[in-house]
Amino acid sequence: MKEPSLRDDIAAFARMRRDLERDHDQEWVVFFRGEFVEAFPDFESAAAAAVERFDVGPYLIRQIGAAPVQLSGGMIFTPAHALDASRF
Amino acid sequence: MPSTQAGFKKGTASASPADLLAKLGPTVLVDIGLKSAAPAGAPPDLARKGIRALIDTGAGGDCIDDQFARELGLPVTDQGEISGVGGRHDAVVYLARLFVPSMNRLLFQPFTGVRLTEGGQWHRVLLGRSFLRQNRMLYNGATGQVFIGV
Repeated sequence: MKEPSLRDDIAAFARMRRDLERDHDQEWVVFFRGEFVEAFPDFESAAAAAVERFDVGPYLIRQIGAAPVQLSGGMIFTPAHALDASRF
Repeated sequence: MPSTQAGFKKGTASASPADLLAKLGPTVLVDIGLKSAAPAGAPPDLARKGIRALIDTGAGGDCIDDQFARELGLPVTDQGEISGVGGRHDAVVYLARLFVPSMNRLLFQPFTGVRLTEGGQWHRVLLGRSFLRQNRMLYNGATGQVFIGV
């Protein structure tokens, strides 16, 4: 079986993005082995499920519609799925 | 929720508590890891204990040192980009449990990976404003004391 890869998960997210934004806005979704697993109402329940089912992964846990995060020293973290939108 | 002291009670030969607070910032000691080894109902028993965490009111999100996160084997759960005064660079997000024993408070959340060790920083974790969302923080720069409570 192919090794789990975050790259595959992110690609799968990109393919499903419109559907996810329509059906799961602000929810937390989990992807593993390039497949959508489930949507959760909060991060803790998504993370608990991911660790229980897939241990240390890797797996993708991402909030639908999440905004960039302000970090220390004026730095901003922009999730990969928001990069394209912020550059154009 | 118990309160805690995030300042400096004692100085050193060359620095007063107020000097240390000005230089290092409000700091709490935390335990961190992915899974607790403690039985249900007991305080969390995480892989690394007594790690220095900076209470950073200039930040919205929380961060962990990249090298430290890799040593702990924390799962990578997303990736993106950090931009700021140093330009842009790729970054990943780690999943971790963080326990503050002095506040009996457990977090299970994402931490953005940043290069604290590489940058010669004293802290391994940065806790942003979301950490203080339920708390009151009193910062006394003159005495070097910082109270965090309810």
